[in-house]
Amino acid sequence: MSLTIENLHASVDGNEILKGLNLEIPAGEVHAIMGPNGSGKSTLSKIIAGHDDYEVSEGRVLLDGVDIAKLAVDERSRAGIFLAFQYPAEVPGVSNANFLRAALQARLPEGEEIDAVAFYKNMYAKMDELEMNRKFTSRSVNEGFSGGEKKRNEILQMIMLDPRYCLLDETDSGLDIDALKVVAKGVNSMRSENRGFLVITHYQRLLDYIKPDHVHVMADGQIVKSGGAELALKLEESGYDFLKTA
Amino acid sequence: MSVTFVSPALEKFEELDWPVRTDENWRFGSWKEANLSGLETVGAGTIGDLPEPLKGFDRLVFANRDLVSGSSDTAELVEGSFGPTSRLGSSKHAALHAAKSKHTLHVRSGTDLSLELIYFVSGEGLFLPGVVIEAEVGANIRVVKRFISVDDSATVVVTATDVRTAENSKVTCLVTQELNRNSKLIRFSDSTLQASSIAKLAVVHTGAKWVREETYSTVGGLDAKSEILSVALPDTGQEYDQRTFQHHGARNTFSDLLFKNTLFGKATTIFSGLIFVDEGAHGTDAYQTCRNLMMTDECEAHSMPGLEINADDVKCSHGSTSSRVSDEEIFYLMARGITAKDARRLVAQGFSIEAIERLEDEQLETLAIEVVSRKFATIE
Repeated sequence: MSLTIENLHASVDGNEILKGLNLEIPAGEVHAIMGPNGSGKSTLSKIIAGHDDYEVSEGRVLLDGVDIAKLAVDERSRAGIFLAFQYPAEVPGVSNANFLRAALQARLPEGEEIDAVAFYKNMYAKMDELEMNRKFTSRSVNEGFSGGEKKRNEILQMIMLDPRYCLLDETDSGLDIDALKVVAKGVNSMRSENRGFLVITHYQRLLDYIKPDHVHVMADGQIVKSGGAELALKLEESGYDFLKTA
Repeated sequence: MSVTFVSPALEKFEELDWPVRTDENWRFGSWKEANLSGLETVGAGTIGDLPEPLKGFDRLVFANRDLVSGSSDTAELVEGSFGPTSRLGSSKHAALHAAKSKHTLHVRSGTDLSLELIYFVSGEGLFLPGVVIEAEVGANIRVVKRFISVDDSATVVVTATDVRTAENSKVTCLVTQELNRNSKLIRFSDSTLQASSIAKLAVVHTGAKWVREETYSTVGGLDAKSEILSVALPDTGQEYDQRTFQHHGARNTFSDLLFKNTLFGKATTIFSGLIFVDEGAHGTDAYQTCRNLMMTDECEAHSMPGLEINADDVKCSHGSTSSRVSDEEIFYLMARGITAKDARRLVAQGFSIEAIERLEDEQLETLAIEVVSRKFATIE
């Protein structure tokens, strides 16, 4: 079981961003991607999630062996892919509770209604774990949230939706150290042999709390180097200069 | 030789002309729809399915002009129209109401009152209900008015409401209209506010093929506060034409207008609003906002916001925006497994919520959301 990316080429407005990217994230593993700005990290996560701004010209993404090219964004989500956004959208007038409820309802067979009592009980329990004030349930999705609140909200959604593969796009950006620990705790609580993670980050700091099994360096739309957790430490020390000399 | 008595009201009606293309007050509007010549008033109506009663509310149910059930110590049916006036272009229709409305429901209270008025509308022709809501000193009145079609007839509802708030009183009024798609609605909403009183007047439009609405609020007493709210969800074949006037006639008065239109299909909306501040009405605090959410490329929203200020030391702002659903919002919702259709519905529903929440009344908000949700359920 894995999320597999094979020879992925993708472009936006005619500019090729991904240039033959290969990556396999087996269930049970945490993979981190690091890389300089503009290397295509966020693009990769959006393409896996199905964003239609990007044109995939070659290659494929396999979810447990099944090509998801023809699946729409919502279908990919229901199939088990979760993208924790770097910049989560604000949705005025839609409460967090209604949003989460709609997302869970969408996973039920037609005609089946979500159990409201169980839903709220579960949501409150998860919010407590993430040290989120219950007032967030009635607030509009991400509207007026601080950077840290938005990221916690992403993790809350991830926990509630119980995906098979989690893509975390710079989840550490905008987080103070306490919030980072809480978010990392939420992520770590979800680690299991049935779930894979792709953690995109600029900083080693996040990987102190979410220990990766593998670290990859991305540059110019490709994975150019892979290694263990120690690779992140090396990057923190020496930066990406080695890419220029490679 | 026989002599036919013509009432002054009817005489006035006959003297006036129907709107024409060149009327400034009908700019962008379908003035042809406004011509109601030849229409007679509808007869006795029928009762439809009664909605769940609102807890704590007295309820009066009308089938066309007839009160068919309910009673209230504070509401009385008085013969004839109270005689609405139009200052925004529909004098002919106001005169029609004055000449032909059978009776006026006069609601008056000096204490707390919650009243629900249900109008079941049926038959082809004119139906001309009128309501006067008079809040005496210190009163707190809540009124819900619901217009519901019982059949598919082309009914033309010409309705007038006059709200008068005495010192330190409050009126909250929610009007919902779920008329059939052959019907028209012409609505006059007038309010006159005395010192330190509050009028919160909201409307939710989901039905009818054509709506012309004129809202005139006179904020005439020190520290009076007028809030005018509208949520409209027209789709193909529906045109909602709303004209408003916020008239500040005293010092330190406040008014806030928020209209939220969500347009589907080939819908059309027209909004024309004016904040008018009298000489000497210093300290006026007035806002006017009309926001249009365009759900398709084929809908049309016309907005004409305006200000006329004749006093110093005022805070006034007006604005209108038209926008499309944000692709990023839709992507975000879909990335959580919500279908594209449901994502658009959620965003559109969320857009309406801002105005509904301003009611600050849980029961009325719930009712407004129900009406809005019923409309969304019909949108493909």
